[in-house]
Amino acid sequence: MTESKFTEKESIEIISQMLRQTRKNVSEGSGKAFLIYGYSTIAVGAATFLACHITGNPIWNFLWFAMLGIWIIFSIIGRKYKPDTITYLDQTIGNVWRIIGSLFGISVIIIATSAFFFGAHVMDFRLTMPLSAIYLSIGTSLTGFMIKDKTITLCPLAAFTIGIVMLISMLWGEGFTNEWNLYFAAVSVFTMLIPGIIIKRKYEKIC
Amino acid sequence: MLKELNPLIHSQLRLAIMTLLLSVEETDFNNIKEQTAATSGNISIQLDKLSEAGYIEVKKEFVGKKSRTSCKLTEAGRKAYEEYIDNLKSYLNI
Repeated sequence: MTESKFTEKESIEIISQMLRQTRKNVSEGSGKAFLIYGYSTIAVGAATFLACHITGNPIWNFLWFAMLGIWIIFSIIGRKYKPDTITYLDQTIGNVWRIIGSLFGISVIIIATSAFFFGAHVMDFRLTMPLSAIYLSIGTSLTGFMIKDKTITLCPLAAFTIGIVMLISMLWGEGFTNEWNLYFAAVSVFTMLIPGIIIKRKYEKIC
Repeated sequence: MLKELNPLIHSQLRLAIMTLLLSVEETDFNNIKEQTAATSGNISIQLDKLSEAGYIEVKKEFVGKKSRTSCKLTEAGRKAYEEYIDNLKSYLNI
């Protein structure tokens, strides 16, 4: 493209040509993030289940804190690779997940500190699993709604159901069992793995 | 009477850059080069002109060890572009 005088009709042609070229509304990055967190959650869930099952020691449930390490590593790597273009949709989806992340962070802080407020002096993190399932399903559903994909919008409802069932079972007093680790791995299949595969395929089709 | 088309926007490359920036939140220099197929020198000159007019915001930063130049349309740029389109419509009777 050169710097020269041109007619009004030609300017319309340039506008249409540029708009055609930039009609990309899903970035590769979002698909990758879903897949990385999806596979990591399934791996950590399965490892936690097996470790607790084999040893019979519930202390292995703290393996879930490995997800914090994965998040830190992914954030550091993410800073080194900025995408060439950030669309409005990318930014909006990013903001939705920032809110979801904050909700999760606030929940963990409240759960951790409430033990001292209520005088129990024991941090009980069981509630984080159903809450995370609910937060993740809301985040993924909103993402699906924004990128206009029915499967990504509806698929997390299965994860939402699992989260609610976990909460109800806590109310009934049955509460946390080792199987919850596998249920949460299933949550990540509906909220991260399937959406990640769909977004990746969409991106590959566009490019 | 027909209004004059904004000369800052009414140039092939500047119009292409403004249109590209209108459809995204932010994009980097390499993508502008790829989409417009213009030379780096020419793009730099046009980015300076648009930036001086307050139509775009140019940010230079380091991502890892590489330098990255990214551009973003400002509110003034968006208004100027809308005005340009309105005037263009009246020129073409559409």
